[in-house]
Amino acid sequence: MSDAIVYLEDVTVAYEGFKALDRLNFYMDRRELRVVIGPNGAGKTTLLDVISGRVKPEHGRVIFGRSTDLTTLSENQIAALGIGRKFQTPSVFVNLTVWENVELSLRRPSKGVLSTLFDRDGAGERDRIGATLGTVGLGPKADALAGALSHGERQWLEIGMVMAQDPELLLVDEPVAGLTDEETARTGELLVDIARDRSVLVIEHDMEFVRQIARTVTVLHQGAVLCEGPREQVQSDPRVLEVYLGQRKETHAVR
Amino acid sequence: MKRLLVVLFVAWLAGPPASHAQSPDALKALAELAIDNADKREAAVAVIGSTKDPKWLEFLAALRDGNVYARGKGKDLAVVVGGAKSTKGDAEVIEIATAYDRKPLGAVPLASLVEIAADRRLRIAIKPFLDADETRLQLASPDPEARRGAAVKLGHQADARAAAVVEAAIARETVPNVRHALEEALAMIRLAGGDAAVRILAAQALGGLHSSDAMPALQRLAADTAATPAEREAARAAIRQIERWGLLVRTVETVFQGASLASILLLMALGLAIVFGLMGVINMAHGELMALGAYSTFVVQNVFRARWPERFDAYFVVALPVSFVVAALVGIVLERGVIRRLYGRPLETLLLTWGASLIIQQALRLYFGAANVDVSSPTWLSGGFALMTGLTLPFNRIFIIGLASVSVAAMYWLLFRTDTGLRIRAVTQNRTMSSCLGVRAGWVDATTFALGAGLAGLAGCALTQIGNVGPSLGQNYIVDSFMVVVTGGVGKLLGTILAAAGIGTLNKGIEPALGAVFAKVAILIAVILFLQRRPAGLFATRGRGAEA
Amino acid sequence: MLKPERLGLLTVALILVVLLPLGNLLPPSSPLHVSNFTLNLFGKFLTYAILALGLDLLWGYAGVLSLGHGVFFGLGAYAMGMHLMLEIGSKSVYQSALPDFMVWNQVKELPLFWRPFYSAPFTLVAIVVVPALFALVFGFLAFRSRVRGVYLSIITQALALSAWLVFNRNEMNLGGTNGLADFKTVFGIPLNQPSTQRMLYVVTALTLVAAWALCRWITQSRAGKVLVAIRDSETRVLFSGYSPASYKLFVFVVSAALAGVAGALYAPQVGIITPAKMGVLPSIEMVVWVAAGGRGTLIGAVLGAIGVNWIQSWLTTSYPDVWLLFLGALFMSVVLFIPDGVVGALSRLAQRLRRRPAPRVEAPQLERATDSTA
Repeated sequence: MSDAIVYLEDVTVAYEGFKALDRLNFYMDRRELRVVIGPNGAGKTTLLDVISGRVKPEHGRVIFGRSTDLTTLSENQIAALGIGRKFQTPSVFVNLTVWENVELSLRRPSKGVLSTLFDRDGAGERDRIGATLGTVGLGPKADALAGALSHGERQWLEIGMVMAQDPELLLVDEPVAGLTDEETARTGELLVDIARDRSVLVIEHDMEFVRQIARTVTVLHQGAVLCEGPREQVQSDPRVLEVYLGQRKETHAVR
Repeated sequence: MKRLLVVLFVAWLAGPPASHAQSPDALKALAELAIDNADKREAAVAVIGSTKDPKWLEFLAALRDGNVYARGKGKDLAVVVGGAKSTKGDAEVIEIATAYDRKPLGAVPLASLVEIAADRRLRIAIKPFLDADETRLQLASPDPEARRGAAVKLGHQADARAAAVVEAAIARETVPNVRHALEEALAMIRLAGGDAAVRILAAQALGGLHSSDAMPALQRLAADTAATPAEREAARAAIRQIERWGLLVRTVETVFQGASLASILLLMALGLAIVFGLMGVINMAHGELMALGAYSTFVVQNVFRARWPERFDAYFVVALPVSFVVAALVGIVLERGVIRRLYGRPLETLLLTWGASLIIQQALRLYFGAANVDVSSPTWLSGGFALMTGLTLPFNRIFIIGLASVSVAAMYWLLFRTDTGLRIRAVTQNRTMSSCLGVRAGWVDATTFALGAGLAGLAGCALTQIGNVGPSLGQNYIVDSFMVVVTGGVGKLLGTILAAAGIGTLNKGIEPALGAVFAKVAILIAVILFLQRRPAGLFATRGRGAEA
Repeated sequence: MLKPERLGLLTVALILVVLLPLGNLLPPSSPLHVSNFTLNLFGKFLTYAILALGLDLLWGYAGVLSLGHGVFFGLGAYAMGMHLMLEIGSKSVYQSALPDFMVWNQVKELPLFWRPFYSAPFTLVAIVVVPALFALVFGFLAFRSRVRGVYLSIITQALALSAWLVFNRNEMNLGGTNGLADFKTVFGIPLNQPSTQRMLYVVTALTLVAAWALCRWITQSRAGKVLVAIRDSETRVLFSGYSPASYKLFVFVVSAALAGVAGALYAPQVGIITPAKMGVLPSIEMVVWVAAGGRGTLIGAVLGAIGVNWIQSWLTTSYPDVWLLFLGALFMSVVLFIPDGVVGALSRLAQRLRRRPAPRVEAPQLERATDSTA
């Protein structure tokens, strides 16, 4: 157990009678890059919601690291613990500059009102911001308003913001939706790069992209793990094929 | 034979005691009336009036009307009642009659008489005697309300001599609530007079009649050390019975008032909730749309009064659809004109509609004047339904409860059973997709908004029956209706209904203890505390992975 | 900050703080003379400007639209007014140590909560602390449970309605509908002299400058950026490790305190404070000052407060019927045509004139009403 980064036990989440997660058990190692796939409504995003504190499970435990129970913490407390989240549609601060976006995301000892009122960034912080912007390739646009960025640039900015949080665990929701092939490839490289020294949990639909980055794949179906293992093995699993092919007709009916 | 005797006996009871007819006191007092001394005159009126003899009371009426004269002087002095006047030659003459039995004394010159003028003080002294007499006369009035009023009065006077009259009236009476009042009066009279056995029976009767009017008398009796233990026990039992009934009445009344307030809130909030829930628009002009509905009702009323006064009662039936349509049209203008440019920006829509509300409000003020206008209720909405003793439910309130129920039912039907409703819900859920499928989203927006605005107009029309109609009508209600919407949550009509019911009942429940103002403040605190547990209202749609 | 903007700011400050009171000192014959009336009027406008700064901090930066700021303004004004009432002492109409309205309402003894207001230092603390404390409790409950967007606006409006209802009651011992009035002195200085009014004006103007400096310091700090970030995406702020509720509460309390100070300066200059000043309509009027001037820029809030009220004082005397129509039209046209207010529109114009391809300024995206997908 000592090398687990996050551990979900018997987690159930229900929306108006519909069970988004149904006694889910999920386990992830440190420095693992895990891809979660599954048809619409399988509970993928809810899984991220539960880990990041956005949704409180009705039942079950969510343990981060050795023994921190996340179910009692608020989103910002969880973020401060070192869990970063990247949303499906890019969520950046459009009325702040690219630099300021990263500046706010930077991991700091305190993010309370008083410290943000009185603190000014030193050289160390500025270097870190600069380095992050360099990693995501937005250095030249540091002073532009984030609202002026293209869709792909916003995706990278958000990834940069989450990286600046220096998280131990990074949750990424469909990072390549709506990106060009070239952008997709770059995003994949970026994620693999990030996963060298932290744990990354990616939710993805794009199977091509999954092939590019995945080592271990988890398939969710109706709120529970259908199967889990190396990518090749999962791809050839008859249950997975059935779920995907059999579901195809209904896929669009579910939001 | 026996029957005749009974009738005679009753007549004797009902009439004044015969001994008073020739009352020497009254005759003596009659003479004193002619003396020019206000105190003595007043005393004389008291003596004459207390005979309770109808003939003497008739005399007092004549005195009040200035038809009493003094004739002769000293020992020959007589007080007479004047009648018809005529002119004989150059002198004016007047028919006179004796004071008590009105025996005609022929015509005499007016100049030979001295008028006994009834000044203000004398008239005041006369009044109570005549009133008491009129109360008895009213028992025979053709108007049931007058009869009931007289019965209540007699009950309070609790004069033993009225008992027989009341009994006779009970025998004649057919209207239930008048009969009830008469029985109550009789029991109260008996409680005041009578011997112990009669009083016990009376107390029991009052308990059975749930007479809250008799409470003071019963309490006196219960505390009266001179009364027998049985009497006092009977009084206490009656008090308990009446108190229990009173509690029941108050409970039912509170529930009804709560339901009534809830319906008003619901009527007002329904349109708001639909527009907010389906379009995400906070319509601050909703109150003014209600005011438009109210003024439309006013205008329709005036048209009926001028054109078809004989059909006046029908005006309200016409006013309901008219106010709906007027408000809906203004709503469409608002939506198509300005609001549609701001979809997805609720705070800005809020400010925009507030601006619109100021303009509508001021326009109403400029056109109709700043003062409240008068909207009268059709006769079929005035009065009430007597549910139980001590509780009458006003028709206008019942009507509003009905209107709210019908509106809610109609909204459910429209949204969930018709094609239009399907389109509205489709656009709410996925605008782009609906447009792709051929739904004209703009048309749907206009319809939805018109619907919400029309409901506001309807609410305004209903409000004319229970409140003042003025340019700031909307302002008085808007915050309350928003509280309902906020508490109810977005998107579910059921939330709005439950919130209206909850806030309405809670308000009426705590109003007696806190007063209207502090009850409102308490409601605000309650809503804020409620939002602690459910920040998005009763029925928030929980988003699945929704992102901001 | 661009150079011309700084220049404009200095000019505005110079006119308001120095030139107006100097003009008042000139003899009436001088063409530059500023009458006592005008100076007093501007004194009132400047108190509004102080309030507008706080409201702008809350709305223009953090995106929290309060429709109940009249309440905080009123609390400050009443706190000050209570002290001024007690200063009157027995020089009042009824020559009682109690305020006149209490004599009228047959209150025999000064209510307990009035007593500390005999003390001037206490009053000076109360004008800040009372509104701030009230905002702290209300804001804590509201923001903790994540009441936001229009929901928050509506409950603040209900707050304004409730406060108005309560302050109208005679049994609150705050003068009922008539409020507090007929002040004679302020901290011992007679109010009816032009020099006192001039002094009050200068104090107000300096307070405005101080309030502006405070707001500027906040918006330039990282906390100020967090506020803007909250307006843009509260969720992102939350997942970046900040607690939006704390920041909103902080700025709510600051703006309430500024409103309280504004109210406290208002009471002695206008000479009366009634519940009508804290109701629903005045509270939302405050929002339109900020909207018209330009939310999200501090100077916009100041100019908006002064400008709208200037127009109001002219319209309500010359064309009283038109004022509400104008106000309504102002609400609508600002929201529709110049969402960033006059200052925002002017700066866009200036940029276009300089032909500098400016980064496109997006209209501030306000947070969504709910979590629903509507």
